[in-house]
Amino acid sequence: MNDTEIRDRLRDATPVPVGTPDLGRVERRARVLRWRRAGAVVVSGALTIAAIAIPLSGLQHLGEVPPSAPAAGPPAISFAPLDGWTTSTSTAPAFSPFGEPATVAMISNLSLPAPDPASAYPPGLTNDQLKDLGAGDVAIEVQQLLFTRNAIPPSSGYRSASLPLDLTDASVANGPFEGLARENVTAYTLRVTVNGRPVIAQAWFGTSQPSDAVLRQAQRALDQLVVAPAPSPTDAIDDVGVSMSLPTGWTGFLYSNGDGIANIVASTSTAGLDLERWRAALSPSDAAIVMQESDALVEVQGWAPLQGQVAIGPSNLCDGCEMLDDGQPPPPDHVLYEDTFTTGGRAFDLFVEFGSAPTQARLDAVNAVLATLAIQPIVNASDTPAPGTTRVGPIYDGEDRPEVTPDQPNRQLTWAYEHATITLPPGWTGQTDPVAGLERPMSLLAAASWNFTPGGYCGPLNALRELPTDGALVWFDGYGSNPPDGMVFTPQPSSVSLSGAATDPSPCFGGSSPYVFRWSIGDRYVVAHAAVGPTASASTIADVETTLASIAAG
Amino acid sequence: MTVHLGFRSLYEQEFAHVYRAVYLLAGDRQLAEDASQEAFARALSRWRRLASHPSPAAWVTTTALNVARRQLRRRPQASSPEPIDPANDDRIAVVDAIRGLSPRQQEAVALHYLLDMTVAETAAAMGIDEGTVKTHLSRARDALAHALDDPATDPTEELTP
Repeated sequence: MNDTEIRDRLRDATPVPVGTPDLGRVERRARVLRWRRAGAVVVSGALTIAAIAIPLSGLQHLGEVPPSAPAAGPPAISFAPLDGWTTSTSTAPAFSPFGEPATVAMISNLSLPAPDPASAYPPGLTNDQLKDLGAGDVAIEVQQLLFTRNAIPPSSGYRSASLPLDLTDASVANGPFEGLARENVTAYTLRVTVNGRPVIAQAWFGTSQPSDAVLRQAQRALDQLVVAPAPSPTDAIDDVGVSMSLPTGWTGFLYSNGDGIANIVASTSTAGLDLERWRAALSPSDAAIVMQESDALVEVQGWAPLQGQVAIGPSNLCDGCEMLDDGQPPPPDHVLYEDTFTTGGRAFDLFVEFGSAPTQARLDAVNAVLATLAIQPIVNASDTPAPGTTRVGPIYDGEDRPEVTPDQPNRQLTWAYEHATITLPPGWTGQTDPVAGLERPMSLLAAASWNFTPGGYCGPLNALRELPTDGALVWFDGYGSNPPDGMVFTPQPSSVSLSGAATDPSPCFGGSSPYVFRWSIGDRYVVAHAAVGPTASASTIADVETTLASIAAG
Repeated sequence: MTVHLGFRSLYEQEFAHVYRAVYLLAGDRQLAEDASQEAFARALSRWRRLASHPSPAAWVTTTALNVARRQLRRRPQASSPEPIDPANDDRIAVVDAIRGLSPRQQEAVALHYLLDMTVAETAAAMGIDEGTVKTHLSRARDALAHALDDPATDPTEELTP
């Protein structure tokens, strides 16, 4: 058998996909991933430019639109006024109840088009605002991407700097930028730690080669930057609802990205915690723990609930698996363990890496550290948006719109890619993928008696928060043709009644207990939920039942 | 092998290859599609960096295979890949043979045979030397030949460079 024959046999053995799937799902998923990764970028210095030059949106308002109000207290980052320039500071609410709002400060010598007020994440300049920049125009944005109570590990990506920042130190990148439909745009990027805060500052110019005069203008504007000193660091690993005790000989670092998503790096190595280097620096006797809260790959139903204490054992050996989604296996001789678990409505991806094959005593030592992990559950949806914000949502990417509006005559809502369709009652709105980023189950469709806000952690939290007392919300999740083990599905009935239906008090629903139905529809497995306000009329309840019964999949 | 400068062209030109590579490992169309899309999403989310990678397609393929492996590990023991047409014994044998390879061997097979990378390109993409790639591919050929009961396989046969 020669190479050609092997190639032919392999190709004969593998089916050709039916066309190339819509890129939209990939793009949406990428946005979620990119935003999540922003904080890690701060630590690792992995990307040339962080997640700002992307087609995402923010609540910031420049020009004639008044800025959104910051969170209580003075903003951590702001620009002092400068004649002829527009300044603003805005915030975006955190993804989870444990986060603090992310602040972005902006200054520009022009009135930029107002961003879409329905957009929420991440804060910062949008492509719409950047695409029309003229050669003499300058727009600068500065934001803190990493939040921690611990000392920030040394990072080549975020050197220490003092104000005023100097544009001549910036890295310069010319377009085209991802998602930005023009090439002659230039970004000057500074990644520095100022007053204990890792910040990224980007100055945008509408030309491939900003003139010296324009650069001087930009420097004048950047001189106005104010960064409030960060609180004194602590050694305690305790933030965003997660804590862990480290014994002598360990160093640790717990950070979030201003989103309430916990990331822990702890190691016995003395080489520091720079994520770009610590793996290679682990000596044979060292061990390291990396734990990431998995908001993007939440897979709450696919990951097992935590039983007892967090611990690793032989079943967690992870030969050849990737670490932190970088597609890389462990360095030679290292031994990597992985575990995933859910607890209290939160999902975690845990890695433990040893510099050499561990003895039982070394495993026990690591497990003793892991046993100190304490994780607060998400028990309610009590966190509220910052004043002036119009959207709250852990994974809302700012791009969703109702695809069926109240006055639209066609009441069908279909997501062809996920093979699901429902029929909406008159006056209802509907949307596909209402919890963007939820991977398993896949968020399929949602319909509501009002113009609801999409997004949520692992359920449509935003809409549930908004639920009018006389309103109703219906949503569908899907497991494709692979139902989770132990979950019982019954054939889809021809009609549905809420009377006597089971309820689901999952933490994903922020303390509410919607009705739940689990149906098999052909070879597809679908979970339907319905939340009904306490004063909903009989007519509204009938609409809910009709909508539930209308689901078609496969 | 073309270095793709645009993500869209990478996606359109390589999706089918990545999908087939994952299918070869998993034997599950849904998983192949999901893992492939996840890998492309990860690529897109770091495209600025990846665009200068020597082979973004290889990166995506490796990531897709990793995603699929993780998903397979999480599956209940009882669940099995989708059934393959029993009439297609060849396909069953090939998929079984590929599943019996180590992850690195699977990766080498996918890159070399499905993405049409040369041995040198495969080595560069995997960060290993060409000799190791040849060893991986040779073992894969042996496994496939054994699975397909092909007595004509010559273990000393040179691989296409």
